[in-house]
Amino acid sequence: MPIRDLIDTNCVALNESATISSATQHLLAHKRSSLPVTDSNGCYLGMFSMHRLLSLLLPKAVLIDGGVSDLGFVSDPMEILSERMREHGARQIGDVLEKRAPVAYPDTPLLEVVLHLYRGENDIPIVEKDSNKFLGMLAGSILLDKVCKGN
Amino acid sequence: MHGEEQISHVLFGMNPLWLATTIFLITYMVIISERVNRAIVALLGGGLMIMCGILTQEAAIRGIDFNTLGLLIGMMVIVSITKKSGVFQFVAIWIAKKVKAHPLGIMIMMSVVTAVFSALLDNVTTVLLVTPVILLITEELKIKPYPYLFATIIMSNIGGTATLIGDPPNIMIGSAANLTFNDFLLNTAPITPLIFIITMVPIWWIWRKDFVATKEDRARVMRFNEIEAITDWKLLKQALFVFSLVIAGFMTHSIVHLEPATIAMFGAAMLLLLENFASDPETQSKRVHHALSEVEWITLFFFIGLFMAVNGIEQAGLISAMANGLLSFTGGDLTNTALAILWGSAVASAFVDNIPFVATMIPLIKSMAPAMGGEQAIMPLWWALALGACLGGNGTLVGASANLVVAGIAEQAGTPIRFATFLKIAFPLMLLSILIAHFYLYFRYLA
Repeated sequence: MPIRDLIDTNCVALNESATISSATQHLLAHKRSSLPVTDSNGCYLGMFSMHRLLSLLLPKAVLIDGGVSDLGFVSDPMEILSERMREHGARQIGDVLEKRAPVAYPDTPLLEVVLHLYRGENDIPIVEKDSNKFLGMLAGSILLDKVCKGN
Repeated sequence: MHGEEQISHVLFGMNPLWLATTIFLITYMVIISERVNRAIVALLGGGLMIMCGILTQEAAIRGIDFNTLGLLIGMMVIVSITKKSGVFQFVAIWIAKKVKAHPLGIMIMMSVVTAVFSALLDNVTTVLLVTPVILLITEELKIKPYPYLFATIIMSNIGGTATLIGDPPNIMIGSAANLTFNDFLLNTAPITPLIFIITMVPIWWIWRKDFVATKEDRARVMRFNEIEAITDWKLLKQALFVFSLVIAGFMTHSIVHLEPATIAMFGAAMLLLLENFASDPETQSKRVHHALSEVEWITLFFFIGLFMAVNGIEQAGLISAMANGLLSFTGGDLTNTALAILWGSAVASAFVDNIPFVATMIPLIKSMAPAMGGEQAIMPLWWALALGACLGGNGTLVGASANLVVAGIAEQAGTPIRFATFLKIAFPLMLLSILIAHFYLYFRYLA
């Protein structure tokens, strides 16, 4: 089965000019761990993910290579975390995109997509090979469902 | 010349002195350019000395100082295991809380911690341990991390000057000149507290307006629970036990007739045994693999190549020619020679890696011994080299590996340390520290 048959073309895509605050609301409203981001021409730019969003709550010292590996001794309460999130709220999502997240093309072999999902992605954005136009998302759950049903 | 047997087979009958000098200079220039990894360059330089017939393989291997390599490997393994216990974070947080999270207090105490850690560990390891905690604390205090990172660099090089194991140049000098841990404690360590204090004054003056934090932000740091930073109490006890034995071993190594490398490697093996005692074979393999993978192999292979390359120019006669040149420049006077080495090493180490510089200077100083009254008479030259090379590393951002490590971490954290900005403050500070060392050397050994 070609993967173009598995693409969810109704998936919401965020515009690069959206703020972190509004993009977060979309993420929560759609109960997704990440959403694709496109430019005004519909070309894919990257993923806005909960992973990146959570990194905004952490001190820079833990995000650097060889940084602090344990935060068991820091007791910042919820208000501090909320304040940190508010500080970033007005920034555009272009600043925090996952640009290296794997993408697939309509003709990408199925097993390659399975490999991306196995490596930790929940959903894979599908784009047109030459134009980078965003076509939709391939959800791991849909692929697994098809695999289990045998077609 | 030691190498008559080797130089008779030099490639195409070329002049060995010119060939060795050319290989060495090219190696040096490529290392300075930082375009190719320094371990690759040094190994190629050392390899070419053999391929061109300047050295035999046996002679090249004889030139490698395995005492330096063993000491570095042993200490790297001990630190890689110890840091898993969280002890270094504990100390940093405990210190920050002791000064009530006041920015100036943190600056002074973190500088002390950095200098002391640097004296007991190597500089790169120290800054790798300290810099992330500084970033965490300054972020919580919402203050500029730059002054703290700057002080970390400066104090790591000053602290490293104090002991045999504090800085790779000291390890090399100690090994080549048979200087003990206590020799360094008695000769380089006494001046470092004064250099530390005098250097802290301009640092405080320059950034004095930045040492301000709100009560709320300070309270946040005061809420840190340093006990929670210790992640493995059992490992901490084992590591402190072994570390104490190793330091005791260093302090008595001349009495018990053991080389520092033996003590460090034995300590590393002991800590590995304690950490893995009663563990299943799979866990043991995993832990040992992790500890050994933390060893900085690039640095070690850099040393190996460099020792071979320096051995090449020594065999070819360049070192003795350079020694003669230095002696005629200083008129063979011990005072002039020592002070020339001090200032020359400081300025050179500010711009080129101090490791190749010291590797070149060691045989040069050794070869001056007969003309200056023997090994005992040239002791001040070794202290001049140690002080100049270690403190000189503070002159520029490329002066020492630790400087570049801090700059790399700072860049990732969004606080870049620029070459020119750093130079403007660090170079005068370095000159100030060398001036202090100048008077120290003069009045203690030369007057």
